[in-house]
Amino acid sequence: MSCFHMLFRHRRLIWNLTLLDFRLRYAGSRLGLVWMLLAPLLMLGAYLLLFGGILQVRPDQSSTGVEYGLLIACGLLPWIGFSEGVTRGTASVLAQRNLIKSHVFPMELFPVSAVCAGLIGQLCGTLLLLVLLGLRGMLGPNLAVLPFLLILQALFTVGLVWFLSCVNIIYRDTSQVVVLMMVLLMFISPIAYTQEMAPAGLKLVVELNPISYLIEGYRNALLYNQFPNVRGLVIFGGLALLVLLAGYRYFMHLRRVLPDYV
Amino acid sequence: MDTAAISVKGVSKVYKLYRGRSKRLLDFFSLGFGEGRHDEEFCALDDVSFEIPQGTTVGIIGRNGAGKSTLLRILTGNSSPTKGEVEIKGKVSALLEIGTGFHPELTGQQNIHVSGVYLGLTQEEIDRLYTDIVAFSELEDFIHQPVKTYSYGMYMRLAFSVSTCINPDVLIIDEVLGVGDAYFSRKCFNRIRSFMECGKTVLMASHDLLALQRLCTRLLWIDHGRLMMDGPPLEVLRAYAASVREQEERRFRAKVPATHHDASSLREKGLIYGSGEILITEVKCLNHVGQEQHQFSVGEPLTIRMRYKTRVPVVDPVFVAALYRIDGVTICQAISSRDGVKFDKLDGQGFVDVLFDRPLLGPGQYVVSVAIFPSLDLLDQLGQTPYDLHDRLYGFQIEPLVDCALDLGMVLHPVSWRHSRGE
Repeated sequence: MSCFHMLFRHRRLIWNLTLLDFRLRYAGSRLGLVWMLLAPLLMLGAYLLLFGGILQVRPDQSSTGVEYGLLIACGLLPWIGFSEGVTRGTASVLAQRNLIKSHVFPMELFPVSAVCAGLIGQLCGTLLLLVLLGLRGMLGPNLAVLPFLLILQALFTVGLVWFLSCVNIIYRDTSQVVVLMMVLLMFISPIAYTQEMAPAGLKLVVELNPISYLIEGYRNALLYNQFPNVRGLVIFGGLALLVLLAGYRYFMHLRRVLPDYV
Repeated sequence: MDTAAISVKGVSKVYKLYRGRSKRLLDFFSLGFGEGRHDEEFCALDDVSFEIPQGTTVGIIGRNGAGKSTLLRILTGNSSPTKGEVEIKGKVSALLEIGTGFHPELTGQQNIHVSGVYLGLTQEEIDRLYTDIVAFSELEDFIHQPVKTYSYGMYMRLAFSVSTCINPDVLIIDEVLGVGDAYFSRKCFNRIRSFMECGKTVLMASHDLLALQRLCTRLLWIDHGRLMMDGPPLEVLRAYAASVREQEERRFRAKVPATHHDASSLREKGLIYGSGEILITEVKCLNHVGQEQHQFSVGEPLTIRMRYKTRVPVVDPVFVAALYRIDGVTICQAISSRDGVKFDKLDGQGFVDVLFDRPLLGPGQYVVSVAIFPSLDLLDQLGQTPYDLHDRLYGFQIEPLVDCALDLGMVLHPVSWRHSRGE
């Protein structure tokens, strides 16, 4: 519980760091924040072109290209938030090595702010998607689950990143490996397909992938206006908590010696 | 006033050195569960204890790698001691490496805000301090430019201003004095002094011995991770200077013989030349008890000893020893014939001493040439062919004064004073 207490106590600092993260990422670039929307849109376009246009994938016979596009968007948004958080978060502590050596700073916040920055990008995209869905009249009361899903996703990612950012300090290759793993994970996550569409051989893989539950949750809330699959939600929620607490313990266990290794 | 602001009890810091990475990873993962996978240990700090009362300014001196920074990092909480305890009362602020939180693409103003966040200040506090910071840095005209366009001096000025804007109870400084030009350097100096005057506790490590002496009331000398001495500045500085001198001396000694053995190659390079009837076989700088020495303090008696060996007997040669400043300016030349010294017939071996009983030389590095001439016509500017001449192959050093920051010049010339009042 000290973990939640810490997060709450530093909430303003986390917010400041997250803003800073944004500012730094786009400082000096011309398009600035436009990139934040441009990158996911480009990715969505690429997905649509490849799976919808060339491979002619459809969740079922009756669905249109637009519906398929929305389905991809619902999968892509949490994925981008998650993978941004993980890749940036893993490198975040090491990236601040100068600061860690010269300032007395709660460094467990760097991974947190990296994850938050990823989530903000996701949120902006989600708002855009909500407008789109609203125009099509597809929104329903089950949307209320969305914040809950976001929180679970954040906790899961933060826990994971606490662990990975520590390991990255000793094994600098970690961040490279993580980037690769993210590419692989992207393909076994049901972004451009649904869990049902996965072939029998791959079903187990998709089911073991925690991100599947997350994406499914988002789809249910946004697209199908269904209450999320309770079993999936409980599994993911439990996992998120477990990962968060374990990651926190690991980080705090090592934080005293970390400055000697960076 | 007599409560300790900083108390350090038996602090040791051991770094584990690993030969393989996998061992290091294993040790890292199982931290606290298993020990002893590392191959070697390096003791950066060894059982250091001291207490610093509130409101005092204490300096830390020591050579590079002596453990100063490790100690300061432990005090600020950036590193944890392997053994021992550290206790600090009050809010600590550290200037370890300044300007490290700056981002080149952001403007000066944005960077002030960023650093404020890193220093743990709230938005309101930063806004309140902002004007002060800009005013102190004197960068009003550039504050809205990205810091990547700043010169190094401007960058450091901003960094120092930001780092010292906060108002801590204990200030820990690691070698950041003297940033910017002389003017700003003085400003920094005064700021630290005003901290002290407000009754804050200041602990600073520096290589600027004079600054330490001016600011501190007490010095700690750390060498090889051990606290060597703890006392009044002048005493500690003297002991420290003596030890540095000893080490320099050892380094010199290790270096010198090479030039001696290599007389033939030096001859080829034209650094030793002459007709060779009589040769200089060895040159040494000696102290007052006749021991070889390369570091002298101001006014310490110094002797230059030239050993010679004749190949054929020579009659009344002229011995010369010349001193140069490191940039080649001739300081003085001692010429035996000019001083009325006669040697008659020399055959075999012996030595000639040039005694500087009360040298007037100021602190600095000096280079020595020695030569033996058949005769020396002082009116002939070009000089004659020597029997043997060693061109600037030797040297010694006069140490800077511990208690004087002023450049007293090349010559500490004795003078007398006279004063008369009125017209």
